[in-house]
Amino acid sequence: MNTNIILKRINENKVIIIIILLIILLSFLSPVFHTYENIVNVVFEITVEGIIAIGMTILILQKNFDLSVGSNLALAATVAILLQRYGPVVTIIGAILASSLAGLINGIMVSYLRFNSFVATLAMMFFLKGLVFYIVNGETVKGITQYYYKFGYGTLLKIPYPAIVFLVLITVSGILLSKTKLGRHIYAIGGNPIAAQYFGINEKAFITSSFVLTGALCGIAGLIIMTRVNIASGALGLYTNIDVIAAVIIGGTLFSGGYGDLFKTFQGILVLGIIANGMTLLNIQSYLQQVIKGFLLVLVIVIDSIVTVRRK
Amino acid sequence: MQSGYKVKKFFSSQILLYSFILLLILLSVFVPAFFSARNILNILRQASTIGIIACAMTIVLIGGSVDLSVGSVVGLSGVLAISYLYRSLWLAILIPLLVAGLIGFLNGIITVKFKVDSVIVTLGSLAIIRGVTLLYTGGKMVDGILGSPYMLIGSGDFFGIPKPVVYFFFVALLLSLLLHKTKFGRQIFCIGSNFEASRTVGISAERLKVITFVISAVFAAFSAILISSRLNTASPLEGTGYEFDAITAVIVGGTSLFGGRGSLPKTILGVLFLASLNNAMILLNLNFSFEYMVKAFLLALFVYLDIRLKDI
Repeated sequence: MNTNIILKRINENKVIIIIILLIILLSFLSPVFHTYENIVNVVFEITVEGIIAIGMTILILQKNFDLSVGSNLALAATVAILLQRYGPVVTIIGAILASSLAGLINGIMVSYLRFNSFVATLAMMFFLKGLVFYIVNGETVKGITQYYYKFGYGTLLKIPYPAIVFLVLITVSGILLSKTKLGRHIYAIGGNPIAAQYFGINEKAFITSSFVLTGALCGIAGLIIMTRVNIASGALGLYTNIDVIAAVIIGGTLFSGGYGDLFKTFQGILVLGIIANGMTLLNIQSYLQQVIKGFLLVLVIVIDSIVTVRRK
Repeated sequence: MQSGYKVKKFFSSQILLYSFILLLILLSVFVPAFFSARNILNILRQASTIGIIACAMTIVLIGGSVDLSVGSVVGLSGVLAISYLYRSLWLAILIPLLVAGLIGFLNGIITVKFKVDSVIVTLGSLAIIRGVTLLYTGGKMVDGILGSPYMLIGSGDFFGIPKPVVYFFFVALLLSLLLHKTKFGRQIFCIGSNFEASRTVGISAERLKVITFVISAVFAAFSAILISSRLNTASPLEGTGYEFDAITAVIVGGTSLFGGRGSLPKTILGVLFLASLNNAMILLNLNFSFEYMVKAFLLALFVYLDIRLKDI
């Protein structure tokens, strides 16, 4: 009985425990780990995937997911670079619009045409990849102005602008998801679709808007990439879908829908960010990162499953 | 009314076949170099690698799971085969098949024992296996031994037909018979359409599901042996994205992503359909970006038709 409660507590906070252990370990192993510059670095590294993970969490809560996020990110970065000559307003609107449109088509396929989200977003992934390759003609496109670096490398109170965008987005979405009726409806769709229908929740509209939101977030993430590197190619975002889904699941949101939140996703993103950073600091081959990411993913779902079974 | 139903029913079962015949006629008329024995053999040879993987993937999908790790298994198996070639020819063939079998077993056991979604489990193993492969080779290509009999496995031909095509034919025949003519095959359909119910009627559903994962991994390794033998070299990145190509072929072939419904001969048709189209686009000198977009469009179209025609 007692051990069960302890196990449950540990399981609920396992990601925080891992984060604390990692921080202690890395502080011993690397003298620069806890320096301000490095912490800012960690936060910056996680922004792109973190922003997309917000949308992915909302999709997974409703039992859907999106494989096209990486290609969509590449599309946004490419569109942004091509629109640079028309000024920042057109660039921002253009990139977000392009990505949102891809999200809208995903949403329509899943909700109105009843496609499984796996196939719908797989097709979209291929399509966007082809589209980006077509636009850039198999090459890498460079931006025409470095004006945007001001945003990408600028800081406010020593926090990079992109990181501020991420923190604001995840906080606002987190509050909307946990404190409003809108958020509760999202949980209802994933956790109890029959009840959701009974309460008159427009499931199709919710699912479509969630895909549009994910698309728009890919647009923002693509813009951020553009402001940092000012180049784009069809090869951008090759593993983004896997990385983002891994972060959401490692954070503790259930792949079967209805359970999870954005604070969990933040933890998942943070764990992967700290591991990536630690390995760079310790000069460990980056290939090992992938191995560890995969192990964490499998470990988290296995532990979840064991604890869930025990509780029953 | 009645005849309309019959017409629709007829088309729903044979739509891919008719599309394929139509495509072949169109390509033969409009693409000059398409309809020649040499080109047809070329198409078949290019189709055989993905074809072998897609045949095994069909069994996984019918059994109600998805295996996203096959691309990584191809990468690891090729590298293992070429590395062990320096010890002995038999180890070069046996080790990859055994390791792949073990990977498939683990994928299956984790999916079944912990009742977790196979998408997540195999996403995890995709990352782990690719990372391990890159670590093993240090990111470099592994070169084989020139003049080794290993090279004879996949290159050359039997009576004018490229060897990979012959292997593909036998794998397709073997797995078709296994799936459609044996008790084992019927049980796979059964666990795919209703896992719990099939347990109550005395099918050892768990064991069968694990076997489907073993089949898919072992045939991915077999495919990798053919590739590495023909190239006499192995890249740790070989097979990246094969999982999506194989799944696309299976779904274009009309097998359901939800399990319990599908046909292996139609998967072969799906593989040939995509390969012919691909070949024609190369002959027509179309930008390779169209390959992605056409694949995406076809995937969406066939899923749409499948959903629509199922309703009537």
